Amino acid sequence: MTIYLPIAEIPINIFLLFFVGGVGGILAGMFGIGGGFLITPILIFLGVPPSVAVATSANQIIASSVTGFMGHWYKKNVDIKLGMYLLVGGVAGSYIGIMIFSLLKKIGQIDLAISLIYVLFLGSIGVIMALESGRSLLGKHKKVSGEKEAPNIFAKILGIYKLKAYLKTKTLPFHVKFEASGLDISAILPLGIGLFAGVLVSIMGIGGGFIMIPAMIYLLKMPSKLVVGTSLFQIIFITSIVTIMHTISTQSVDVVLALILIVGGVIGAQMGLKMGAKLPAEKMRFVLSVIILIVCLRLAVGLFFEPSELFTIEQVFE
Amino acid sequence: MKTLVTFMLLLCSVFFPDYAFSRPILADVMPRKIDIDHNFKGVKVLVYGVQNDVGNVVIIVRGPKVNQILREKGKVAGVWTNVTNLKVKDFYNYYSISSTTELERINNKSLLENLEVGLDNINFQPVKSRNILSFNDAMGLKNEALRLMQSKKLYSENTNEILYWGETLFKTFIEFPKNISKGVYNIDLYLFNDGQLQSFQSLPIIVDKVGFEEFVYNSAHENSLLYGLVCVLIAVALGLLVGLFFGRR
Repeated sequence: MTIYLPIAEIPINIFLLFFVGGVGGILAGMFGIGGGFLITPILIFLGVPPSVAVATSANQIIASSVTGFMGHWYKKNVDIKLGMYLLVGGVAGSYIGIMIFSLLKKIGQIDLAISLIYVLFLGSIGVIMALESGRSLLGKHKKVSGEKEAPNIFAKILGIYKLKAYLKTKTLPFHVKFEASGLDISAILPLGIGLFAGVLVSIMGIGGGFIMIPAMIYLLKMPSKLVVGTSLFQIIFITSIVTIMHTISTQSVDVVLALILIVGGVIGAQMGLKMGAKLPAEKMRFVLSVIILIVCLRLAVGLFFEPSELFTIEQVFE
Repeated sequence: MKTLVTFMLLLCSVFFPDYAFSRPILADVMPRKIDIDHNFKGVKVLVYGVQNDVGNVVIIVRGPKVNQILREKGKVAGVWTNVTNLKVKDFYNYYSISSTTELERINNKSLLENLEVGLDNINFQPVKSRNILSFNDAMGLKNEALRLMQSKKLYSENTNEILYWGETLFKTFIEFPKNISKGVYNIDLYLFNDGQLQSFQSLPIIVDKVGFEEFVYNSAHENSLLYGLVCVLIAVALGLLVGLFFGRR
């Protein structure tokens, strides 16, 4: 059964879309990650225009972030004050991101930019994850709990350790006290982290949690139980702002597509929670890394091999 | 379908004998309006009519003229990316031509050019751009544009697909693919004889999005801010709902 997506302007099988949302949900339930980084490229493979895929993905993330945030809010695992600083940085970042997005769209390079950024991110994350989980599966690596190890990998890729070493030699101005987290740090740090994540939300259609979480743990030294709830607090607002900015500047949010993905995601997340509890964490992490690498490879093929059609034509609205 | 058409043609000639036979060519189209809804898969439109004079019939369906961007990919630093971006002004977003004979046999090249009859005669107006070297290079891309539009099934050229009953009654089917855009399309009928245009008739056909699809599309384009707010509210509401159901577990 196909459904005509009014903004993407293509008919796609509705069950396939539920499945895509469900896969995102399963990943979220199992690994506590947003899944946006897989949903966006898969939508592109299905024929959804890249700009619609990115913008709609941002809309879909709002729902899963609200649900996730509520769980942390009940447990009082949120530092609202620090979240506000992340948010202010994020607003600026998402505005910059939208500007870059519109510019790239105008000069016809948005597809290239999205593919290139995704190949870089997915490639490096996938390889490191596969190596680490593969090594520990073979028993050559000391087993660490999944939750703590995941940020480690991302922190490595993002060069957070290097940045941390550099920051130790400097003292940044504008110190602020964050009582809930028991921190006394420069306001520039949370603002900067929020800004960087905001740019990624606009361009990649992801929540940016996998950037913020390691940065908050290793750079800010925030208590880890507050990290996820606080980052979700920021993500809810930033993805909402980005969704509205996309609807105004590019009209590329497809509400029908978002709705299907949200519903699929809810069902998937419940399945993921159950599966995650039953299956061995290391094996699942290895499987996830393989999925990531397959998506990365598929995107890379489009970039590095001669396409069968060199020309494209599309209508422009002015 | 066939009997229905025959019946309608007969009806036409019975009720409007003078009108029908006083004009060299007279036609109608069915349906007159195409609705794009959630399970739209394309549609075939029937054009039928009477030809009361000798000559060759050419039926052209033209969509709205829109601005398009033609892009060419090339390899830059090992990566395939768009290297040429050519803006084309007022290019039909749909063009289908059916004729009773090859267009060359009409034997009046400049007339066909003026009337934009035939894929090769469609106006192609490149807008000046930085990465195009010359006007000739830009015009050289016309064939690529025509080829792309044909592969999208938005442009088509059909010879000998106009069917006749006897000498005067004719019909043809014109395919509107699933990817057509909304707008007013014109069905233009020409009767050429001896290299001259004998008769001409134009019929409009409206393609529109209907129902929920139209509502969503229009809201997104006309009330962008409100549409965005609604998108966000739906997501927040669903998230809250799920959180209330499963959150405390």
